Amino acid sequence: MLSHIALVFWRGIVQRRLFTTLNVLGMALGMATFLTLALIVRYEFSFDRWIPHAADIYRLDAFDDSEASVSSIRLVDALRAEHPDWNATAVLRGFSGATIRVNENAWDVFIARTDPHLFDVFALPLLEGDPATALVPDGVVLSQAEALRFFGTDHGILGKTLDLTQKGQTHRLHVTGVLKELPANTTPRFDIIVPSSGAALHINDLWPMATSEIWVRVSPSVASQFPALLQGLVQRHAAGLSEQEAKKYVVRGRALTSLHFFDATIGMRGTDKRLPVILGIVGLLALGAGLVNFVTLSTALAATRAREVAMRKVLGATVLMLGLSFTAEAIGLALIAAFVALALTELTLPWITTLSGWPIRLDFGFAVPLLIITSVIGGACAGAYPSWVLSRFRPATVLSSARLPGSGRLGSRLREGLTIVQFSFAVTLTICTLVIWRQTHLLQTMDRGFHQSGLLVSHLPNDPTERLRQQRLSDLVRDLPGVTGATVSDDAPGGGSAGITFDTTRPGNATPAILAVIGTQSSTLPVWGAHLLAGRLFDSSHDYDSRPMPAAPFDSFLTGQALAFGTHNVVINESAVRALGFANDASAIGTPITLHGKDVQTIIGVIADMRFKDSRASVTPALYYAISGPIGYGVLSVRYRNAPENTTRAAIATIWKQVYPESALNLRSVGDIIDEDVRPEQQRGMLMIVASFVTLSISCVGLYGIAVFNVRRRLFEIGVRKVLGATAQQVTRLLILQFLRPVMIANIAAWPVAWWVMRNWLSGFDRRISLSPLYFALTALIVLALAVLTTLFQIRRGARSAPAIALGSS
Amino acid sequence: MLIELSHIQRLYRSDEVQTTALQDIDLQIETGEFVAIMGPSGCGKSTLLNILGTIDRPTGGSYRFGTQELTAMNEAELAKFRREHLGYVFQSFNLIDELTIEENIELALIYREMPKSERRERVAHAMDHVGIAHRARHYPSQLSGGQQQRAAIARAIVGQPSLILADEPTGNLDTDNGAQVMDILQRLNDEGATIIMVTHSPSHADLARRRIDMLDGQVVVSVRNAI
Repeated sequence: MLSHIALVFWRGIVQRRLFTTLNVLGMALGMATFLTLALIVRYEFSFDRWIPHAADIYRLDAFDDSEASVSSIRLVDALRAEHPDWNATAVLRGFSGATIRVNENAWDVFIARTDPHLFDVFALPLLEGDPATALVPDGVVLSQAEALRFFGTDHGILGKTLDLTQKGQTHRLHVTGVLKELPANTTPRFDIIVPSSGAALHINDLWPMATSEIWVRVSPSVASQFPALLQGLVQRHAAGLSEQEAKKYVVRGRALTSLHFFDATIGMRGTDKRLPVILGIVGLLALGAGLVNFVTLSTALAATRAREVAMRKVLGATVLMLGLSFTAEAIGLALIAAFVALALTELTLPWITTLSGWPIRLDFGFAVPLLIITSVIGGACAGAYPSWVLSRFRPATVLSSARLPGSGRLGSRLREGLTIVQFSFAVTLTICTLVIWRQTHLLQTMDRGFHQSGLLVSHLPNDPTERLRQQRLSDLVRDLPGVTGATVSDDAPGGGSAGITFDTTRPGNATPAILAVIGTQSSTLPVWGAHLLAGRLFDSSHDYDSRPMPAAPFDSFLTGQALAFGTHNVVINESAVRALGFANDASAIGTPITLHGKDVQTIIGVIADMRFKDSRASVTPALYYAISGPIGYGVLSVRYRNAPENTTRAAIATIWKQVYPESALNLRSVGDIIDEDVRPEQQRGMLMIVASFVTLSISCVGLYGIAVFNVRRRLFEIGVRKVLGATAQQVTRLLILQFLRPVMIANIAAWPVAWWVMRNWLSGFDRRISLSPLYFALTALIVLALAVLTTLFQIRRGARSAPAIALGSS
Repeated sequence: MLIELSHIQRLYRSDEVQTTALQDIDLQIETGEFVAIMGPSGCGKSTLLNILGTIDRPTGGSYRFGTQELTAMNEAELAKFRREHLGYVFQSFNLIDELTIEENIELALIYREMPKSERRERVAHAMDHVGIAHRARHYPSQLSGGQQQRAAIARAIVGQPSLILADEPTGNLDTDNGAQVMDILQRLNDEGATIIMVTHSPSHADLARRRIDMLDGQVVVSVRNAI
C-alpha cells in the first residue's frame, strides 16, 4: 500500500507539474521566510544562554531614581559584607576611551576593569592562559579579536606587553589570557579585561556614582529570596548618604538570561522584546500564507480527483485508506517544499544577514526538525479537507454526474475564505512595510535641531590634569583650512561623557523639572548649528554668559565636593520650556530658574531640541551653560566647510598627535553616527519589505493557481454565456471582479489589524509620521493591481475560448 | 441463489421534491447468470446496478448476497465486501489517468493487501484474458476507447469476483469495439462468471441469458433469452 501511495504521489507530481510547482513554490517561500525569521527570533532569545552557569548569574542594580545597568561600586562592598558566599564581582566600564599602545601603534579602546573574582562568576572559555591566575595586577586578558588587532595573532602572546593610558597615566600590562571569541549573542562584553586593585575600582566611591556592573553567581533558591535579602541593603551601608537619600535606594536582581530584553526597557543596550515577537508574528504570517496557499491549491486539486477517488472506493478502498493516502501525499509535497525552503534559506541567508544586520547562520540541527514538523502539520492540514470531502461522497453520484464534489458551493467558499485569509496577511504586511519605510525615511531626513553635515566629533582624554591641552587643541584645529569652528563640550552628537540631571524650579511653579545640565563653551552651540528659537546664544562679551568654574557638575560628583555651580546665563531647549511650564519660548527669556534649590540661572535663549542619539526616544529637557575654561570629560566638535573630509581628518590627526601623543584619536563623522543610529530601523524595514514581498508573492502564486483551476472548471459556463451573447470583454470583466472580490474583502479585513499594529509601533517614536489613510489606499491599489496582473492571462484565455470547445469540455 | 432483492426502494429527497428512483424491486439472480437490464433513460437501471454494486444504498427493502444481508453493513464492511466479491465495468472506463494500464488493474488487488508476486501473476493473466498485455506499460490516454474498456474489464476480473457489474460497457464504443467487449463478457460468463449489465442496445441485451426491462423504477419484464 505504501509503495502504491508513493507511486501515485510521484505520478501526481510529474503529471500535474503546474500545480505541483505552484504548491511547492508557495509553501517553500513561506517556509523559507518563516525559517529565516525563526533563526532571528531564536538568536534574540538565545542571548547569554551559552555562558556556563548562565541560569545562576544575576546582575544586581542599585538605584535611587531610574534603574540602569550600572550601580555604585559600594554595592559590591555591601554584598561581600552581608553575603560573602555570593561570589560578587564588579566590572567597571570606562565612561570614555583609553588608549592602548603596542610599539608604535595606538588604539582608542574601551576597557573593563574588574576584580580577581570575575571568572568565579563568568566561567568564560580561555584560548590561552589559566583563569585561576589570569586576573592578576598588571595583567590584561584580551578577546581573540583584540589580540589579533594588537598583536596580529591570538596564539603565543602570553607575557607580551602593551601600554594602557587612561586619565593621563600609562601602565605597562602583560597579557595573562586570551578569551575565546565571545558569541555575538552575549550581553556583557569582555574585550579587554584589566584586573584592577580595589583602589582603582573605588575611585568613584559614592552611592550616586553608578559606574560598575555588579554580578553575583548564586543558586536559584537564593535568587528566589532576592527581594527579602536585598531589602534595605543600601540603607545598612549608607555611609555618605543622608537618611532621606538612602531611603530612596532599592536593589534589584536581574537574571543574566533576561538582560538582553530587560536592558532595552531601561534605555541601555539590548533589544526591545517586541521586535523578535513582531518578527515571529511576521514569520508565522508568511508561513500561514504559504500553508493557506498549499491547502487552497491542494483542495482545488483534490476536487479534480473525485472520479479517481470514486473508483478507488468502488474497488474497495475504505475512508481511512483514502484519508491516509491524501494526507501522506500532502505531507510528501510539503517535505519537498521544506527541502526547497532549506536550499532557499541557505542561498539567501548571507544576503539577509547583510541586509538585516543579524549575525545568524543556518543551524541544520534547528532548521531540519522545524521544517519537518512544519511539513507534517502543513501536510496534515492540506490533506485533511480533501480527505474529509472526498471520503464522504458516494461513488455512484460522482461516477454518474458531470459535477464533482468538493467543487460545489462549499469548496468554492472554502477556497475563497482561504484566499481572503492569505491576502489579509499580505495586505497587513504591505501596509506595515509602507509605514515602516516612511518612518525610517523620516528618521533619516528629519531636522535634528542642528546641522549634521560637515561636523566631526571625538572624545577627549578624560584626564583632569591635562585639561589645558583642550584649549590648545581647539585653537590649533580652529585654524585649519576649511574649519569654521572647533569647540569642547560635555555632550555632543553620538553621546557625551556625562549625564548629569538637576531638579530645576522657576518662580511661580513649585514642581521641579528634571533638566540635563550640559557644559559647553560659548562657541559650542554655533558650531553645532543649533537652531535659535528665542532670545540669543552665548556671547563671551556678556557677563555671566561664559564663566570659569572651579569644577564642572560632573567633577563635583567624582570628587565628592559640594556642588559649586555658581550663577550663569543659560540656554534651554524646547523640551525644557515645556518641562518648566512656560507658555511659550519667548516667555522663558529673562526668567531666573533655580538649580538644585540654590544656584539661580537666567535664561537668555531657547534652542530647538537637538537629537544627538536614539532616534526613537524623546529629547531630554536640557540646560546649556558656557564655561570659559576647559571642560572635563569633554568631546571635541569640529565644523568644516568647503574642505574634503579626509583632508580635514588627516589635519586634525596631525594636530592630535602633537597635543595628545600618548592617546589615540577616534574621530567620527556625525553623519556616520546618525546613519548608525538609524541603521537598525533601516535593517528592520528592509526585512519587512522582503517578508511582505514574499508573502505577496505567495498570495499571487496561490491566486494564479486558483485562477487556472477555476477558469478550467468554468469553461462550460463561459461557453454558455458566450452562446447567449456575452462578449469576451464582458466575460473577462465578470471573472476579474469575481477574482478580486476576496482580495477586496482581505483589504478591508486587514486594515484594522494593520492600523492597530502600526499605531502601537509608531507610539515608540518621539517623532513619527501620521498614520495616513493613504498607506491603506496605496496598499489596496498595489494588491489589487497585482491580483489583476496575476489572473488576467488565465482569464483572458478562458474568455477567448471558442464556445464550441468550451461546451465540449463539459 | 447469489442475489435476492426484496422490496428494494430508492427515494431521492431534496427540500421540496421527492423522487422515486426504484420502487418495490424484487429480484433473484442465480450464480453464473448473465443478466441484461434495459429500459429508457431515467427508469432506474443504473440506480439498481449501483445498489447491486453497494455504491449506493437503498432507502428500503432487503439485499441479500449469498448469506449476507448487505443493507445492514457499514461503509467499511461494504468496502471490504466490494473488494472481495465485486468487479465493475463503467461506460466511461474510469481508469486512473496517473497509473499505467498494468497499475490500474493491479489497484483492485492492492486494496486486498495481496502479496506483490501474486498480484503480478494475476494482472498478467487478466491482461492476457482481454488481449491488452502489449499495452501494459501505457497510460489510459495512450489507448483507444476499446482498449481502455478491455483494461477496465481486466481490472474487474482480476480479483476473481463473484459478480461483475457492467454499466453500459459499450456505450462509449464503436460497433467493432462494442462487439469485442461483448465477446469478452460472454466468454467470462461461459467460464462461470455472474454478470449483470445495463445496456441501451437490444442486440447486446439479446446476448445475455436473461433480460430485465424496467420502467419508472420498476421491473416490468423479466425474460430468459433463448441462446
